[in-house]
Amino acid sequence: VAAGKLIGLDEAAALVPDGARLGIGGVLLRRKPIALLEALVAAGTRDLRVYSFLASLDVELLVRSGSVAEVHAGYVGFEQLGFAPAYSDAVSAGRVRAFEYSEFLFVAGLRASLAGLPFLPTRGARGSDLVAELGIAEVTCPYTGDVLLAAPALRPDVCMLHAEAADEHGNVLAPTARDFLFDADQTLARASERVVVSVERIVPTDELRGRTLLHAFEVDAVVEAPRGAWPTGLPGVYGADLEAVRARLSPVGA
Amino acid sequence: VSERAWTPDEQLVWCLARRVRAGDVLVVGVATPLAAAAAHLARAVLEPDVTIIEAAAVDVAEHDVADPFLRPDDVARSAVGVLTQVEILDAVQRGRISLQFVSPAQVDGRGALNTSRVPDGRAGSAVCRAGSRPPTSHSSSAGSSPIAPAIHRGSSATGSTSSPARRAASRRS
Repeated sequence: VAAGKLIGLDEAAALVPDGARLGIGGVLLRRKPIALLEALVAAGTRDLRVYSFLASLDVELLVRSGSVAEVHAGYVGFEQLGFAPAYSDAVSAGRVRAFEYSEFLFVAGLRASLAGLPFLPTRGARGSDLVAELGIAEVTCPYTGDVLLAAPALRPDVCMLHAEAADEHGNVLAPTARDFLFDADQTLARASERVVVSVERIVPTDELRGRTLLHAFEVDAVVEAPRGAWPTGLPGVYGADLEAVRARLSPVGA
Repeated sequence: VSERAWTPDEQLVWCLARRVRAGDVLVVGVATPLAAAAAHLARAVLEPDVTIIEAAAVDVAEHDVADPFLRPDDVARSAVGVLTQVEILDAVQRGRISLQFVSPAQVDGRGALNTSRVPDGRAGSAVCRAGSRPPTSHSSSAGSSPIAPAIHRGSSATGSTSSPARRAASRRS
């Protein structure tokens, strides 16, 4: 097993070139890799094409700093706190292209990547305007004649995640409790070319043996970043800090 | 029984709850308190034989509908189990979910909906607004939700303006 996957935040940011397809882990206000994303902002990374299943502060902070060209997501917003002001403004002004997916289309695209396929047939979003907007083609089942959608493989160049712990080899601890979409980061990581994980703490391998979300061979770099998801939450470790999130949602220009 | 004026929220919850049938497998999402209230009301007083899947958590205990905003992990912990991202979407697609209460940003008279993105109203513009700004009066996490649920039987289609034909798919028998 290759050791030496521990790197710093600035080195992690350097793994994401301008224009990269960036997969972002976490769902809504949980497990967003905020420390890593702030490192991208500090590095001045531009023209990112972001893939985030259910986005919140991840997309909002990258858009607010002018780092984003495209957003591919099933939702961008803050649940009870409302929608994303910087993102909404940027899309309306044409500075950011929004690609809205149904959850089915997004996950089908990731699963095509997982299986090494160019597309995966799905029924999700048939009849929706999203199909034409995203340029999704149809495919006919050779056995039944059913007409299905061909969700194209989604394959981010690099993805960024935040988890509770990892060892120095890149084995990542799985969530101890099954919270909402606790497994989404695993799917995204395996669909991506390269995987960067920030964690609360580095632990010996024995502490996560048999409890892995991802294995060393699936992870390219590990960054120690305590509270690296804050102000979003890390279920089982800390909750989302809604006041701190709200403070980051001031109207653009205010 | 004294007459009282039911609020629109209460009427919506009751109308939703009345759609639940014996044996239903009912999905409600996240940040949809009225849909959750309807699901739990239905199970409590109308139809005990319903499986409630709330934010992918199966058979969650009755709870305050504010809890998912404030203590989401507590709600998940009260469940018998929690489905994975792939499991819940596959269950919908293969028709194993018989009823879903969805909460779009917009819905038209034919049941076509926009989940979060709505047109920006500019004539001829193909660009849609990515949702609306949070209203200033909604700066508190407490209070009424801007989100109103709708009913969805059969296969799910989230996203912009799903066709009514698709959404009228028959319930699983």
